[in-house]
Amino acid sequence: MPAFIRTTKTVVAALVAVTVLAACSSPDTTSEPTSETSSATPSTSTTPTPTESAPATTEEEPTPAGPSLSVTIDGEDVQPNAQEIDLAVGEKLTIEFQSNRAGELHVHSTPEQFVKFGAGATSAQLVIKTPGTVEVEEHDTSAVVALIEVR
Amino acid sequence: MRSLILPMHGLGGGSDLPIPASLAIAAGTAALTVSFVVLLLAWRSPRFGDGRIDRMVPVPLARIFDSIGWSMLLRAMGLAFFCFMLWPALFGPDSLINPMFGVIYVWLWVGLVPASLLFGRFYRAISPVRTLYLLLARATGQPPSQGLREYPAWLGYWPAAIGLFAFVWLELVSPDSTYLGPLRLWMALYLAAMVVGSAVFGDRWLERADPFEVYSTLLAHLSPWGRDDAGRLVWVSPLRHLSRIPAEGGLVAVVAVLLGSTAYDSWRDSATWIRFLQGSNVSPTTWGTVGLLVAIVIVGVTFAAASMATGVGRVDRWQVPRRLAHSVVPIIVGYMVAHYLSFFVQTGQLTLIQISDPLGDGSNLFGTADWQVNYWLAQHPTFLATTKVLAIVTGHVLGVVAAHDRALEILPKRHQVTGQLPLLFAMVLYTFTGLYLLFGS
Repeated sequence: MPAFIRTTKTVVAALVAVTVLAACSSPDTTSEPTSETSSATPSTSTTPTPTESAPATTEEEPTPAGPSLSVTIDGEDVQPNAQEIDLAVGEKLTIEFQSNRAGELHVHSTPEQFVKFGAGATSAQLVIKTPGTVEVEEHDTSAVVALIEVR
Repeated sequence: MRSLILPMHGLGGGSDLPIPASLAIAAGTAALTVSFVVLLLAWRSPRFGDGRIDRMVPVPLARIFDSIGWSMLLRAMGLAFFCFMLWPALFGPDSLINPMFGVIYVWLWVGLVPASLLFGRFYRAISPVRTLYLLLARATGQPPSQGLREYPAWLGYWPAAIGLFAFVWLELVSPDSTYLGPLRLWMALYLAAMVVGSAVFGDRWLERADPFEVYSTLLAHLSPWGRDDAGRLVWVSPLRHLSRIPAEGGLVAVVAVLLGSTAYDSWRDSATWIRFLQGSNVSPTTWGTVGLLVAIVIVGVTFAAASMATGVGRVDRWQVPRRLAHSVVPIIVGYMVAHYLSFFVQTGQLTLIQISDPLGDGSNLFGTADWQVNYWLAQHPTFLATTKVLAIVTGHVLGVVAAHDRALEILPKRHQVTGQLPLLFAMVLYTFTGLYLLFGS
């Protein structure tokens, strides 16, 4: 009976959809308790991951280890390839350059910013004041070196 | 004021933050639930296609809007603005301080969405190409509806689908989208195609081939301003109005281009896609073209397949997709709001500032040159995310309702509920994909 088959299909499809939804939501619900327990245990300081808790850990660290970005440029070859970085509004991002030429980064924030760099090892600091997802692009090659989520 | 000498990137500064996971899940669940509620509990006989008499717009108001003076005023404003824009287009700087980019990509392309939703057939009323054609027709003494030949019915909306694809390709894929020369060339080709086409086929060409007019008129079917069969101005409920979109060939292609390109626009900003492009030896333009086409084809094929996957009785199966395609229009609006709200508000303001200085020589023609952009939306990401999600869910619900009503109208009785299921799933898929793109990329 086609009608019967269709009804069965309906039920199956609905179940699949509900399962998908449940699967989507489950990591969210399970991750919360684990993060609570991990923060409760006084862990020996590890490499600071750039999360929302990063500013708190940086105060405890002896070296200033805020979020940073290392850009390596060898002519046309620009690294990293679209590194994802989390940053707070107003937080300083340290950019370390290792380059064999001078150039400029275009920071597509609101408003836009530009970071110039020279040949050799240099460093610069970047502060973004408006929340959003910001592309950082090397001007000469149009290569996207970083995607910064500013919150 | 800072000036970009070489534009390397699309318009606008930072893009929006991803929406929070909780919001995406809540919205997905709501969309799914409402879909089934509509399917199982809503009305059982079609309501929108019943040919009920519409409510007239009050006579004094209708008299104003139907007057020659009113339409001349709108046409004159459209043409004057077009002529003004020729100035920066021809003599303005080839950089993003030129208002040309904002006027085309923000005011025209995104702005026609709210304008058409509020005022009806907005682009048709101000369209400079239509005005030029009307002047041409008057000069030659021909009625505007009459061209050299009849517009072939089989062409339907296909020319508009091609034109829309050409525009979204320029905006989203072409490496030259933010250079003045290519944009000017695109607009010149558009003008030529529209004027020549309408001279050959009459103004029917503009109704079926002008990408901006077709897009605007589709959206206008969600506005309360309608025309009845006798051409009188009427008030009509948006969903009833929507059901009056002519179901011609190519309509599925048009909605697929509009929805698919918006999805591609969010996907192309994702870290995954950028890394893939930068790691590949093939040019980003090639991959972009492939990506855009794939997104459009997925929408078109899933929609056509899902709407045809039903028992159809005596209805021609191949006619079913186009008769349901109007239901994608609210979904397009939801996507458009979600993807372009902050872009429209913020880059739109920037364009208003720039237009006072069309040549970039420091002039202040309209007194807006020293205004500052208000970044309130970007500074309130939660409000922005909530608005975006509400827009997507609202679009989805209206789409499901419109499809439900049309299915009751065209499907045989015993397939009316089950026959809607595949399309319902296609729509849920679109909405989940949209939410995922807002959340993940």
